[in-house]
Amino acid sequence: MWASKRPGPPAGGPQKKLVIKGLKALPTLPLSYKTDTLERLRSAVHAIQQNQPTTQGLEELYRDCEGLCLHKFASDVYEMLQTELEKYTRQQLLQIDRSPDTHAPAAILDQTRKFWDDYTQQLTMVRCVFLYLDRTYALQTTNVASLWAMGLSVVRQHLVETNMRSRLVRLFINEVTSERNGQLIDRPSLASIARMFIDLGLYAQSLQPSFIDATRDYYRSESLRMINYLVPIKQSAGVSAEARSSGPTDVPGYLNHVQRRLDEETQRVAQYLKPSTKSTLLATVLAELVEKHTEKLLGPNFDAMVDADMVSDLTNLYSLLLPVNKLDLLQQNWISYIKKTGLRMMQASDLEATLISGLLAFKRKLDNILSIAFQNNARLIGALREAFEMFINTRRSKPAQLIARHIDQCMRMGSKLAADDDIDDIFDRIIMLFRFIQGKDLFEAYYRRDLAKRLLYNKTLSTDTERLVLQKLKAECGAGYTNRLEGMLHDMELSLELSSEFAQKQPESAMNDIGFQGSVLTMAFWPTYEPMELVLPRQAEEAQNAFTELYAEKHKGRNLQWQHNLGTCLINVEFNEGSKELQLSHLQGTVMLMFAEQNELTYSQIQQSTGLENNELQRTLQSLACGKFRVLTKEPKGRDVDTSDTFHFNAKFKCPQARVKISQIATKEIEKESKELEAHIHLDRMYRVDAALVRIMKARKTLEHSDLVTELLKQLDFNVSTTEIKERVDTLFERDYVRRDDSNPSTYHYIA
Amino acid sequence: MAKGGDLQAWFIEYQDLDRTDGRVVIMPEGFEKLCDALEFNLEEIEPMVLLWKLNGVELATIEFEGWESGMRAMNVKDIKGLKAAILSTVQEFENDPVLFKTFYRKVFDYLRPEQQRSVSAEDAVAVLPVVTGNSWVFEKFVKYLQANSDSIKVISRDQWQSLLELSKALSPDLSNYSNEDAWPAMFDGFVDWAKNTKPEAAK
Repeated sequence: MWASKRPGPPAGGPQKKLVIKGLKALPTLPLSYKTDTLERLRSAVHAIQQNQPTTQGLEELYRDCEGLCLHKFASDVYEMLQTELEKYTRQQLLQIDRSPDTHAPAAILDQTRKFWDDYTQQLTMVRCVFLYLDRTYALQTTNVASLWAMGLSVVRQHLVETNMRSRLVRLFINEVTSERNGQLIDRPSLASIARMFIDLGLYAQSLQPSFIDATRDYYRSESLRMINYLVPIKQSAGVSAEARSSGPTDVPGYLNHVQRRLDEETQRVAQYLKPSTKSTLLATVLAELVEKHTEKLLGPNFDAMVDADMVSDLTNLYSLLLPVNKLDLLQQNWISYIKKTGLRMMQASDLEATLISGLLAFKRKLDNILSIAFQNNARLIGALREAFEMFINTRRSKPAQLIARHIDQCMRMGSKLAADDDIDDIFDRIIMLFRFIQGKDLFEAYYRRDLAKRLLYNKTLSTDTERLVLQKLKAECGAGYTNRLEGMLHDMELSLELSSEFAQKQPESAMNDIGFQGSVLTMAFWPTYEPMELVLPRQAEEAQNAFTELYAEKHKGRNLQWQHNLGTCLINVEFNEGSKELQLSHLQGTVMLMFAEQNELTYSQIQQSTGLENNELQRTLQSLACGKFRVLTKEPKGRDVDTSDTFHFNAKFKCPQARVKISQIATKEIEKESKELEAHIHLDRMYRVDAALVRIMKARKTLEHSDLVTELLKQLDFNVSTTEIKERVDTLFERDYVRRDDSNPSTYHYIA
Repeated sequence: MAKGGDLQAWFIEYQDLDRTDGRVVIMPEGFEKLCDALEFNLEEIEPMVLLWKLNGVELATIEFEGWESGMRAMNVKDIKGLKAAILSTVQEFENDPVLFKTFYRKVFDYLRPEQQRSVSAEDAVAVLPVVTGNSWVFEKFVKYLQANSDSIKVISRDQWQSLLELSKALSPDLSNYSNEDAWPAMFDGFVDWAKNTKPEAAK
């Protein structure tokens, strides 16, 4: 019983064999299988398209599709689908297209949008149902697009073939134009249309180009309209930008308008266009509104804006010109404005009083505009420098003189500088102006003269400030430049020490009538002064001699030469009104003291006693007897002093102050001084030219005239005319440094 | 060929025998006498050329060495020959500007006082017309010197030499002169003045 595991035939019966035979005939499809199924599917598609439920369930439909595909009817299914989609699309779109333009154009767009939304939804569903077809037949057969792609191309074909595409584009653009003109439109609708075009692959080839063209036309005419009616800028810049944009506007208003348009277009892209359109769009707007009309925006309008400090409008201008590469033009206008205005300032009639403060204010204003509106653009900064250098040097020596004077005024006691002013900043700005002048040697000469006066007459506000300025000058021009100036300061320091030492050493008796302070000036540092003969009052002379002795002890081998024209003194004088302290020069003081003994003196007596020359004596007596403070009287009366005049002590002299300073120097003296200074510098310069010429010729041996001139001008820091150069070359001929070439007279040879 | 002895004898005819300084020279009087013998007008160019050819050391002063070498160089032994040689040199000036230039430059040294480097404007005014005859630039320049006799006192060597170049280069309407060129500074003033007095030239 347990012998075999194999299932065998049931016990007791004969073995049966199971035989399997193939079918005798293949099962055939029902004849109408294909058409029926297709029909079912077709109805389903219709139902989807009509937004109605399908008679079959989606699962069934899927199987239908799968079945047809398995039975190799896939292409029929595909064809059917395509046909149905085409029919539907045609029907829908033709209907939309039928309504004429005038009848609510926006409606057409809206209907198209609705169509598109529905269509895409339907297509999604269709694809779900026919997924098997999509994944097998469509995918594996070349030249057969996926269902989705096919669905899109159906619409695309239709639009292109019926020209509805152009119509849609046109309507789209009309809407945009309306919006640009200020009307409200249906933005989401436009966004859908745009998306439709994008999905259909028609955006880049149809919609965008037409849109850009339309934009270009729109802004072209807008700009022409506005530019042709630009009004000049009124200086009353308080008018608000908004008020300006209606009706004719000025340049700032126009600029604001451009900014607004740019913002608008940026928004537009964000709302209903493809982001990639943005850069072309903005470039087009800028080209039409700004680039084509740059000249009109600059010119006198630019000048007016800078004049009136319209910084925010200038910022606008800059930010608009930057992307259209018109900064070159801006730079030209910038330079021309600065030069024009600067030249005008240099020619002003009240130059002496106003130039420096005017220039400082001008530079400050321009710097401000540069940093805020022009974003510190390097080329514009360089342009400013160039322009300043050009116009400042149109008046050869004035700038040097006036800047030195300006600093002088700042340094003196009672200057306009307040205690909390930023001294550093103020002088930095002055140095900035100084940087532009050619011929800084002239400035140093003026500065030295002014510094000398400040130091000798004790007018300087603070030695620290003096040193500060010298440091800045040194930083600007090198150590050699401020050598003499620093020497002068040092001299004063040493003199103070020496004077106090002197005061201590004097026996009391000798000094009880008179206080004495001496300043020792190192000749090389200070300006040259004419030595002057003067016979001092005895006590003064004694003190002077004692000081000289003391100095000689300390510095053997050095000579002191007393400069009487530089000395000052304080003298107490009893007038009827009371005792007054007169602050006088040595010359004046010496003369006054004579009247301590006598009430009346003639010119010749005074001259004999003081030993002064006519020139000096007349000047001195004039200041005492014919000026503002008449401590002497003159007979005969008059402004000028004659050698035959007689002088009386004026006991009746009245003055509210207790201390009176009587100035010795008349204005024409100062002018004469300036002329001498400039003549001296001129001479100096000619020597420098000679030295430079010799240097150059020695190095080059042979040189053409024009090349020599070019080299020379490179080496000099001041301007010199060709005539002056030729004159110097003439002297070089005379001194046998150079000779002319025999055959070519404009070539020079160095004579070794 | 003149023998050394002949030249010497000839020289002695004109030599200044009153000299006490031992120099062997022909001085102004002798020179005049020579020019007379040659039938040369002292107001014209020939005497100057004579001086030059005989290597004169100063105006109207000829030393024997110069006399001798000059005569030999010209291959001259008597008055007739000398006269012919001088006249032919003057002729040559027309065709040989380089020769004239050498002569012209030497004239400056003759006019120049020995210790000085320049020639007085007065002397220049007197001599230039003689030496440069019919050149309009020199004529005008002489007028210029005369017009500015209180401000222009001397002519430097460079100015003298450059004047010759100017006479060749300057156009009659003065249009091709520029202050930027390498001409001596004084010429700038001269051309300006000439431009302002142009109507005269048109006469």
